[in-house]
Amino acid sequence: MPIEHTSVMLERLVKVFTGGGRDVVAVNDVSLSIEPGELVTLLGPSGCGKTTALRMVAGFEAPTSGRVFIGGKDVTSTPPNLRNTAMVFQSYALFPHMTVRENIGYGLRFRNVGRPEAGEKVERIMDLVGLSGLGDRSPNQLSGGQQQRVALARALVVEPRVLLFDEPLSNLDAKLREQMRGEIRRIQKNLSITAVYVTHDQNEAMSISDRVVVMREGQIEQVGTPEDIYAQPATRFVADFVGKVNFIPVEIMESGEEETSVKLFGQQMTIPKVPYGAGETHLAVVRPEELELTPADNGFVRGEVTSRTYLGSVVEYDLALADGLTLMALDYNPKARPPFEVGDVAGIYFDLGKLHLLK
Amino acid sequence: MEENRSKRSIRWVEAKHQLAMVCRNPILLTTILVVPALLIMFVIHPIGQVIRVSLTPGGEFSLDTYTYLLSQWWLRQTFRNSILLGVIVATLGTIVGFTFAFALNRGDIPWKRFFRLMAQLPIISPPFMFCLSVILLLGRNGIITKQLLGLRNFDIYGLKGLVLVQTMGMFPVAFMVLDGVLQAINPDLEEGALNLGASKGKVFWTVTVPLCVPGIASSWLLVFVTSLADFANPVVISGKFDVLSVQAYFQFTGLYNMPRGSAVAILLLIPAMLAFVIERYWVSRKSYVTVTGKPTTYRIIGPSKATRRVLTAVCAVISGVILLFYITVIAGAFVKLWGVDWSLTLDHFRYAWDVGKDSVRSTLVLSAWATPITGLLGMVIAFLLVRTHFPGKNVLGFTSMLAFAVPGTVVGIGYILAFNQPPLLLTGTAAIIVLCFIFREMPVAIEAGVASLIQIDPSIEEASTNLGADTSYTFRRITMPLVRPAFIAGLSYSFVRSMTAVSAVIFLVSARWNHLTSLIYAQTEIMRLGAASVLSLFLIIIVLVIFGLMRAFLGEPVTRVRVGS
Ligand SMILES: Nc1ncnc2c1ncn2[C@@H]1O[C@H](COP(=O)(O)OP(=O)(O)O)[C@@H](O)[C@H]1O
Ligand SMILES: [Mg+2]
Repeated sequence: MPIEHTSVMLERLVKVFTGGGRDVVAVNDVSLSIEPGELVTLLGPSGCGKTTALRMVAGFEAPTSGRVFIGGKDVTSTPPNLRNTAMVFQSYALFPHMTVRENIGYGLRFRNVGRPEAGEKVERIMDLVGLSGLGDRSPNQLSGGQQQRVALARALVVEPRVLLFDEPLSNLDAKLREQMRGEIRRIQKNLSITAVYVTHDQNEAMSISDRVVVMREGQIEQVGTPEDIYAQPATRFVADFVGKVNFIPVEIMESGEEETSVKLFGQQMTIPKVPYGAGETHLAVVRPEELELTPADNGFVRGEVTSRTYLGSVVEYDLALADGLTLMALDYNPKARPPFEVGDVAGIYFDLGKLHLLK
Repeated sequence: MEENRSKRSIRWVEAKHQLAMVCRNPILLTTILVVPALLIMFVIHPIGQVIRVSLTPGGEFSLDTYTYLLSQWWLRQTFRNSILLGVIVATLGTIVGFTFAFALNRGDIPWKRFFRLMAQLPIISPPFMFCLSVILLLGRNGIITKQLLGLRNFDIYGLKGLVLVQTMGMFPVAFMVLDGVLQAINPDLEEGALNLGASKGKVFWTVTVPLCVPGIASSWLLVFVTSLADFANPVVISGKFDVLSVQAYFQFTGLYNMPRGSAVAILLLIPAMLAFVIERYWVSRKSYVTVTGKPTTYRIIGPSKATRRVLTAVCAVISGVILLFYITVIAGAFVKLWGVDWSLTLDHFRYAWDVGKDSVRSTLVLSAWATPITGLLGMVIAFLLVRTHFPGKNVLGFTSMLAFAVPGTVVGIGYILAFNQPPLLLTGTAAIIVLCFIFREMPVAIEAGVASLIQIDPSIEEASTNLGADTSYTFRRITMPLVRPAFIAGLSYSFVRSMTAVSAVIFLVSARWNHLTSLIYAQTEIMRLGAASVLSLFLIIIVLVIFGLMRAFLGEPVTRVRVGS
């Protein structure tokens, strides 16, 4: 399917909702540039302005200030029906009085597509998303997953310049969610349609995106690849939001040519050079799976196991340190080592070579 | 200051984008411009004319008319009468309405379907019909008063007759409001109180009634406005008990005193508006009940046996009276000369058909024009109110609901004054009546539309726009099919109202475009009660037949629907 490669740019977007005598700044000065064919996820807690930002791209909300560009053209004042974006709604928003086929073909009515050709396109897209044979059903005769596919097919068939997703999988159960996100990713990549995907689920964001935009209270906290966001979070908020995390205070002692010496757990150690001044204290972001538990005599520091939770593929430990810090450790290969029990004292070790310090 | 200015300029940017988007949607733009123009022309302008004429008795501005009105004791009395009647009927109507609503929702009484039907029947009953029955039953030649009791000097005309017919005719307004309220109150609350050890009576007085208070206030105010604005009943049965609507009519059409007629109409308008505004902006806001749209199915805490008997008895008596009214009118249509010659005859039918066939036809034509336009326009306005954003939307909402509060008498006078000269010379035409119907009945169509639209996930329509449909296509192909039940409810309602309208249309009818109700009034005036009964029967039969047809062809009218996907 020939799909136009389109970039999307948000330029200093602001949206203020007035009403009830109070202003709500839903989106606060958001700028973002999305490459053609890229899938970018807006990730953040509920109420941080993701949907509002997406709706401004679709044209359902007029920005209070700022501009939206699609394919380099300013569309800020273009009504939604002329933007050629296609949105997959959280509620699917299928037309309840139309069949599956009519739902999917709806957008073609406005696109100068002849009837036979439209019919073919609909059939082809139904094959693509796995809906063959369900064309004559009514949406309410379908399962949640199938409804989701209809919503996706309806958006894809018009060959939009931009695909927009607003938490499309939040109404599905966990297993189906994983399967569908794989399919969405596959189809989006194959067709290389530019896509903006909104979710509050960090796993979904990680697994589906080329780049992730982490939002908080209407503003962008960080933009980066999933790896960046996870391993090099820019802020404490991002680190916390995209997964489980330990924050360990690190005091900078002095920096050399290639290394910085720091004080960690009251001991002096060296880490690769960081650009911070002596005397400052910064938080190191250490993921629980980076912590390695060893017999008590080894490791940087000792911690007492305060809880141990067996989760099948992983064992989760909570550890209390002498200085009051608590740490969480995840053991993804529990069979390889003898387990620690509650009350045991373990040595804690992690790789300092890739230590990431927050500003 | 600085911040305010930048805030305002930011708003301006947003408004500009909104406006730009609307402008690229020509049909939406046209609608947004045309609808307010229509409302100004046919809702605001006529009322403005009534006010203007009342304030310029000699062509110059003066308060003379009002000074006169307020200095005349008999006119002050008229005002007091209207208010007194309104208060009594509102109180009785609310009590009866509540009894029915409570009995049907919580009472665990027999014959529920029958009682529900009886509590709704008066709404589609022709005007004059209840007075007609009351005169046939309790009048000078009444079957009860003269034949059964042999009373000579009993006079049903006046306050007591009015209270009787209005209460019977208007308690359904209270019933509908309170029925909705009781359905929406979660019975768990009541059951909870019961589990905590409260007695059934105590639960009723400390839980159920307080939760209903806003609903009770609402229905009281609505019945009050309905009674105040009523013209059909008082004009027939008020006797020496003068009320404002009738007085305005006689000043205007009998004495041709336009300034005074207008001023009396304004005296009528003020309390009606007041009650309406209080209801809308104060009482409804206080409602503790959230209508979820989910019909609650629950275990009823049955009241005690005695209570159940009382409830059943009250419902049975009221329903019996309504049935009796119907039977009386049917009998009246066949009896030669009521109270004098009881032999049966078809003379009244022959006569009624002779004088009435033109009116039947024109009534049908007028209603047939008004009904679909009202329904459609109501839905378009509901759509604009719920789904679009444009400056001045709130004013549009208020104006379109205004017609609800304005008594028909005021509207009728307003239309006569506003459309009696070119370029809008409409006096005597069908158009003036159809327009009057449309703008008087629209509020209910709008309400039905709004209630239905707010329950439909807006993203369904957004999906349509997003896929390339413009607003008008979305409205026709997505919105309308989804709100169809509400649309039909709006249609049915406006049809009934067009068929049974009196208070405004009585000013607007002409020899060429007469209305059945005004003919019934004329026949009642000259005491041809048999013919009036026949014409009332015609009216109710037409209404029922068309209702049946609408149901058969358009589907079930339901006001509350849930659509989602
Ligand atoms: N139409 C609206 N009117 C008023 N406030 C709104 C509206 N839409 C969203 N908001 C507010 O804007 C903020 C951001 O909402 P939203 O974009 O829906 O967040 P998210 O999708 O990230 O959960 C919230 O505080 C929300 O209450
Ligand atoms: Mg959202």
